[in-house]
Amino acid sequence: MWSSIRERLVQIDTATGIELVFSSDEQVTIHACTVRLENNTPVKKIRHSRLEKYADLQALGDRKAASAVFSGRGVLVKKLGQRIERDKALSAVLPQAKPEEFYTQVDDSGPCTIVALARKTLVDKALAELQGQGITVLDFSLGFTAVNNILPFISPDADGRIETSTYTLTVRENTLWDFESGAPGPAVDNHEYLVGRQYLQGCDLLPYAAAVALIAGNTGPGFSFGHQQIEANREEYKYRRYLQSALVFALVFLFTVLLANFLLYDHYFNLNKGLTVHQQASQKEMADRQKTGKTLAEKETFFRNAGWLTGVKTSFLADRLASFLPEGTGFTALSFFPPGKAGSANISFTKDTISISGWCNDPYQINLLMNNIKTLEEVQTVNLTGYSYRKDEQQGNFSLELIIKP
Amino acid sequence: MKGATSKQKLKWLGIAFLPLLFLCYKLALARTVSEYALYRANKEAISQLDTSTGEGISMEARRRQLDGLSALYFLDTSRYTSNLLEIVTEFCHDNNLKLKDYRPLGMPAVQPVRVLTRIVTVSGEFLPCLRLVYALEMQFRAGKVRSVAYQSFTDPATKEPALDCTIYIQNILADEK
Repeated sequence: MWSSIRERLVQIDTATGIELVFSSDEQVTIHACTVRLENNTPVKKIRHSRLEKYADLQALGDRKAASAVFSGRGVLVKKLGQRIERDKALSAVLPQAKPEEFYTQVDDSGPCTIVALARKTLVDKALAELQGQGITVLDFSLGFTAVNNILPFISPDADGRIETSTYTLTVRENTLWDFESGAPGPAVDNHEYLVGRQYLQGCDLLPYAAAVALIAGNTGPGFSFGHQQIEANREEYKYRRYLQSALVFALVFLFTVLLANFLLYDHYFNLNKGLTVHQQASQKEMADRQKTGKTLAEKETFFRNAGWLTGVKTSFLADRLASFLPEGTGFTALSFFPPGKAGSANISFTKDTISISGWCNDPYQINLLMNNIKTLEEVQTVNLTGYSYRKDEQQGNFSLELIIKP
Repeated sequence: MKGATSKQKLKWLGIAFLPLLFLCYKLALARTVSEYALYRANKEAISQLDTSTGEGISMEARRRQLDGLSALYFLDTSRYTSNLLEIVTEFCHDNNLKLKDYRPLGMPAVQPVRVLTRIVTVSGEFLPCLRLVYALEMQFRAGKVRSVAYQSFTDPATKEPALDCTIYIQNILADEK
C-alpha cells in the first residue's frame, strides 16, 4: 500500500522533452515540447521549435521535470548487424575510445542493434546549461532511441518513413528498421504525424517521446547513465513531491482540525449560552422554592410536634374508659392531653397523656380497671400515680396516667 | 532555507508540525475543550435543577396537604357548621347542658403557624358532654379539639354532684400579610 501511495506521490504528470541538436559551428538548435497527462493520455501542451539559445527555454512553463535528447554533430549513432553486449558496444563502434569519456546507449529492441555515443564533456556541458536555465533534467537520451516509446502509436508515411529534426527513420511493422542521419531541413516542421489522437510535427517527435517516457516512468536502455547530477535531480524531484504532498496534507489536516474545532466550539458555545440563560432563570426559581420548602418544613414540624396530625379522638377514649369502670369505682376527673401552662396564649398540650382521678371501695378494683384499660389498642402504658385510702369514708382515691401510642 | 534541499525541508516540516499541532491545541482546541467542560458543568447543573423540579412537585403536594389541613381547622365564624359558640349554644340548648365559659386565650404569636386557642366549659351530665365532644370532633368544623377535661364536683348551691367539661379548641389563623 505504501509503495502504491509513494508511486502516486512521485508520479510525473507534466514533463518537458527538450531536443538539443548540435551543429558544426558549436551552435545548438533546441526543440521543446511540454506534455501533460490528462485522463491517462499524454497531451501536447506547449511546443517551441528551432530555439537557438538556452535562454529561450525560459519561455517554457513547467520546467520542474524535463528529459533531454541529444542529437546532431557530436552524437554518433551506428547500426550494428549483430547483437552485442552493452558493455562492448563502445569498443564495437570506436575500438580506440575510452569508455570513461563517452556516454553509450544501446537499443536492441528491433531487428538490429543501434548504438548511440556522445562525449561526456559535450553532454555534461549541455546539461549544465539546461540546469542554469532552471530546468530540472531527470533523464536524457542520445540520438533517436527515445522514439521507441511512442513508435507503436505513430502513423508513418506510406513508405514507412518518419522524419525527425535530425534523423529519417524507416519503420516496418511498428519496429525501427533503418535510419539515416542528417537534418531533413525546415520542411520537417510542416510534416505532421498522427500520434495516438493528436498530430505532431516531425521536429516535435523526439521531445514528445522523451517527455512521454518520463511520464510513463520508462527507464529505458541506459537510463540516465548513472549521471550524478541527474540522480541528484531525481532525488530532489522525489523529495520535492513528498514535500508538496506533506505540505498539502499538513495544511488540509490543520484546516480540517481547525474547521471541525470551530464547528464544535460554536456548537457548544451556543448550547452554553442557552443553558446559562436557562440556569439564571432557574436559580431564582430555585431560591424561591428553597424559601417555600423551608417554610413548609417548619409548618410540617409544627403540625407534627403539636399533635395536629394525630387522629386519636377523645370522645371515643372517654366512652371506652367509662365503660371499663368496675362495680364500686368512679371517676372524679378525666383529662385528655392536659395543657401545660393553662391561661397562656402560647399554650401547649401533651400529645399522649391521659390523667384519670377516681375513687374505689376496694383497691382490687383499681387493678381490674387498669387491666381493662390495658386491653385498649390505643393505650401504651397505664401507671398508677397515686392512691390514698380514707378510713373514715372507707374509700380509696386513686390517680392513673395513661400514655397513648404515638 | 533557500539553499536547502527538499529532503531537508521535508524533515524540518516534520519537526515543525508537532509544535504547530501544540499551538493549534493551545490556541484553539483547548478553548473548545474548556467550552465542552463548561457545557458538561452546565448540563449537570441543569439536571440538578430538573431534580429540584421533581422536589418542587413533591413540595407542591406537601403544600397542598398542609393547605388541606389548614383549611380543616381554619377559623371561620361566618357559617353555622364552623362557628364554635353557635354550635355549642345550640348543642347545650338541645341536650340540657349549661354553657359556663367561653373565652379565647389571648392573641397567639406562635410561628410559623398562628393558632387561636379557645376554652369552652359546659356543665351537665357526662353523656351529653361526651356527645358534645364527639360532635365537635367528628361533625363540625369548629376547630381541632386538643384537650378535654371532665371534672366532677359538688355544686355548692344545690349540694348535688355535678360535672364540668372543659374543651380546648384550636383554630389556624390566616397569615398576616
